[in-house]
Amino acid sequence: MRVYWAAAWLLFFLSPASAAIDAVNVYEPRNFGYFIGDTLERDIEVVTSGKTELFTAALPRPGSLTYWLDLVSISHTERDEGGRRHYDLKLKYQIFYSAIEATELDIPAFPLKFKNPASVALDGTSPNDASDAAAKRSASIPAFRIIVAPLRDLVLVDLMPEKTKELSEVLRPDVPAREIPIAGKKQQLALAAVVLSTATLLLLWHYSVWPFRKRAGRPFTRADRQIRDLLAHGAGDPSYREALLVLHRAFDEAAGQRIFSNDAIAFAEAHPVYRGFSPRLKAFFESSRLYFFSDDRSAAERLFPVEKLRTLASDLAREERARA
Amino acid sequence: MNRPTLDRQSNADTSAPLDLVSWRRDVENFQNEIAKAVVGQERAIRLLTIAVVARGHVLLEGDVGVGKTTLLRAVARALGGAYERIEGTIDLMPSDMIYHTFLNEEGKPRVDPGPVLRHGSDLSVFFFNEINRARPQVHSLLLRLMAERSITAFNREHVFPNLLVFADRNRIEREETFELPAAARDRFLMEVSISTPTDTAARRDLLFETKFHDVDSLILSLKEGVLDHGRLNALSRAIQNTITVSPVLEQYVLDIWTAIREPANAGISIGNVDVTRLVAGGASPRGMSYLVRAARVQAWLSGRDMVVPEDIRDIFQECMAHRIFLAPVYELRRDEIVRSLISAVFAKVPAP
Repeated sequence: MRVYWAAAWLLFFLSPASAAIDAVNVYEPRNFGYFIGDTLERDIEVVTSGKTELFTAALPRPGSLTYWLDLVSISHTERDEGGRRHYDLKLKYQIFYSAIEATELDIPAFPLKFKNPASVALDGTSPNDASDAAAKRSASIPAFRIIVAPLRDLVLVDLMPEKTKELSEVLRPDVPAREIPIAGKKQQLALAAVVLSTATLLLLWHYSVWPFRKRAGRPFTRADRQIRDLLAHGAGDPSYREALLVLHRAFDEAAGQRIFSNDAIAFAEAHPVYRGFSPRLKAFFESSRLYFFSDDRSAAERLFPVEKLRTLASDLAREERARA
Repeated sequence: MNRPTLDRQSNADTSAPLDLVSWRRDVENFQNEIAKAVVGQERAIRLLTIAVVARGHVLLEGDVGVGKTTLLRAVARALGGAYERIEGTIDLMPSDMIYHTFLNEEGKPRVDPGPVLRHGSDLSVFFFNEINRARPQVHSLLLRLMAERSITAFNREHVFPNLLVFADRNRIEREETFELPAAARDRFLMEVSISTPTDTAARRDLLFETKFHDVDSLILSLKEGVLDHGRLNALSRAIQNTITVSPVLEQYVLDIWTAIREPANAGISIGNVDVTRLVAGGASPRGMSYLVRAARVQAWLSGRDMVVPEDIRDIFQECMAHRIFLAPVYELRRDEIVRSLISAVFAKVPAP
């Protein structure tokens, strides 16, 4: 936080043609909490009008000001604004004071020098009172009092061996941490969670996985999964039989009644999604009929091998999902 | 003449091996021949053919004037062999079927064999018209005739190895009729319901085609004896021994049977019906074995060497519906309920 500190305000009821030092504005840094080695910057704005100019060559030079204070750098810029001349000075100091306790120190004042500081108004009128006139002729940078504190351990260990105070009493309390507003983020998180869980549920529903395993209307999807599980455990005769049964049950469920070989074509006609499957359905039912109702099981496995069975189931399942 | 009988295997015909393929052709001709006289009843003809090949008796029922009698006469004609018919009336007595007494030209009393005995063991079709008009005494004689294909009369046993009993009844009126006892109904392989043809062309033919106006000449125009009725028993045996019934199908039939007898346990529900007390009995083991027998014939007629669930389903209604006995409260809605029960069972029981 910069302190706005006005050194002087000059009134402008004089004629605008008069030359004067209009203002010296000093913007000070904080005045406390300095330790050895710290730097601080003072910004000074000098406003002049008329012929009056700041004599910049007379500004202090960088170097040691006192035994404890160095002027590290000084810079100035000039600009014209609203018929007046503005000088922006930037002074950078460094403190070399090794405090043994918190001490007030003064950064010394210094005068500013001006060209034509006392130029008189062209109309010959004089200032209204003497002090006012003096302010218009000269100005200075005021002293600046700062508090320099010792480094902590020096205080506590070396200089207060029998300290009676707690550290918390010596030190200022910590600035309370600024609370970051997270209510909005929380809402976004909740919304995202809702969207994510809805999407997950929909996906599970679509594939009729765990909570929707028994979902009606997805018999082929379920059959496909069961058949893949079955065949993963080996493709012997029992699992072939089991796979046939699973697919039969899926057909039954899809049709809402028991579907026999003679009904296969009617089933495909009644369910346009599966119309393209007619020849394969026919082949499946024919071979299943051979498998279950004749003595010739091997012929059935030859006509409709287990691989074809698996493909048929997964194709049916895909069509079923595509329909939804 | 060496004729096979169903019950007495000793004189079975083993002389010539049967060619099942040529027999199938003959049976197809048999169906086509009947179809010339009876239009719009393809399913009934098919079922009757199955019954003939499976050596089972058939009861036809339906409306008046839909061609029940014509159909049976056509079957009898195409089948060949001796044919007898009798009309059921309320005063018909069992003795009327076996003999009839009269005074001959010389005024002497005579006892002649009645319709059943007249042709001896050659009788191949016995046609009982309006069977529900006959008394229970007659039904019980018929029961023996159907079950054992034999009859005891004049102190000896008469055997009819090739006999098939065809009966019909109409469901329109109930006055002066006697419902067939369950035991007699159970002995019919099938109960086929005949209804008016729905096909417009068939209806038009029936009304305006003159050949259908004179039934006698229509029947006479059919070729007689398309099938060698004397060898049908051997054919039936050959079919029963040839057509495979796999263990899976056996299980399926057993499951169907259980579901029919205990529909509630099978999870079947029918609208407005308490299924826990719907079925009072029936679906006898004999009925189920008849069903399997007919299913084998159905498979053979379809050109298969194995019975598949479709065969069972196709003929189940005709073979089993009349054997399922419902609780009395449901008897009046019998047709509708039994139909939905059967379709529910087939929709529920998985095959394979």
